[in-house]
Amino acid sequence: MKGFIQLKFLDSVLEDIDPQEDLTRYLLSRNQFSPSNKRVKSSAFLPPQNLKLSVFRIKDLSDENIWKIGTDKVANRINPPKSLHARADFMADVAISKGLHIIPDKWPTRHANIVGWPEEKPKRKEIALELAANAHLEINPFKNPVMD
Amino acid sequence: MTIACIPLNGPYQSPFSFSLNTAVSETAEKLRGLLEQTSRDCSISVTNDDSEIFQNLASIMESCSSDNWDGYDAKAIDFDSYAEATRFAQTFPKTIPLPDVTVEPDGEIAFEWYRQPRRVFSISIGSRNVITFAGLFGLNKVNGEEYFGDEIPKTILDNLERLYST
Repeated sequence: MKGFIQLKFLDSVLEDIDPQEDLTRYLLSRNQFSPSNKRVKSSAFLPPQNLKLSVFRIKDLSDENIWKIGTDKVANRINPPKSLHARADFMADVAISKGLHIIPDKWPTRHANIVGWPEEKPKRKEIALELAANAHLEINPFKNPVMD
Repeated sequence: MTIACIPLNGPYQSPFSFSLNTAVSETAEKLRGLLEQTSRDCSISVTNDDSEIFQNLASIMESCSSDNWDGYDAKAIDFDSYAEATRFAQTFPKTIPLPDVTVEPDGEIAFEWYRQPRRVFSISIGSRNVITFAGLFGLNKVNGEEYFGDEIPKTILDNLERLYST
């Protein structure tokens, strides 16, 4: 019963994005952050070719549940599964203030895409630097080192 | 930070050369040539301060040589970008601190110089002699593109000087 309630809580549908809401970008590659400087590199915030940057909404979640979502809904959904090394937490307003839009797509639940990126790569790089400058790096404490 | 060691009593062996040595495709041949070049650079640079940058290049080549290396549909490292990044590293002035090496979702290799969250400069090395750059200098920001010919563009060096001037 407790597990069921926890699952429902993790999957609870959130409403529109609040500018003060915390988001996270899960990092599955070690070259996207620097543990020694405790910082996220800007490459972690550059969108792929479809110009949709995948993030998750972490409002009201415990640290353990934030990592659980990253493991279950990101790292383990890739074939073959990847290690979840770290995450970059940031406030929605950082992206919104750069003219980007955050679109919750609820698949998986709590997922959202940051869209509205400029066509020109130099401008995208500048925004990625801004996002990285305002992000907080968290290293995954539950990561199995054997998976590296 | 953990730094890979290169044995001085024997030839440098790339950690991923084993799987490549049996490949026969044109792409594999191209990659092998690039890696051999990088290996030579690593060997030559062992006594220089910049050996780390070549080792980091080899390391990301190993970890990002397949599509979807980041789990978000990133492209594999672009071979031409890798060659250009190696060339950039070879011509890089030793008076400027070494950058962090990273890969971007479009497969381009990037060098990032970081001092503080809002004092950072990043360049992406494209496959067609184009360097894309962006930087934060306190409240000021820059971005743009430069042609990478025989030497590092002055704009790039000026921005690095700006980053480290105060």
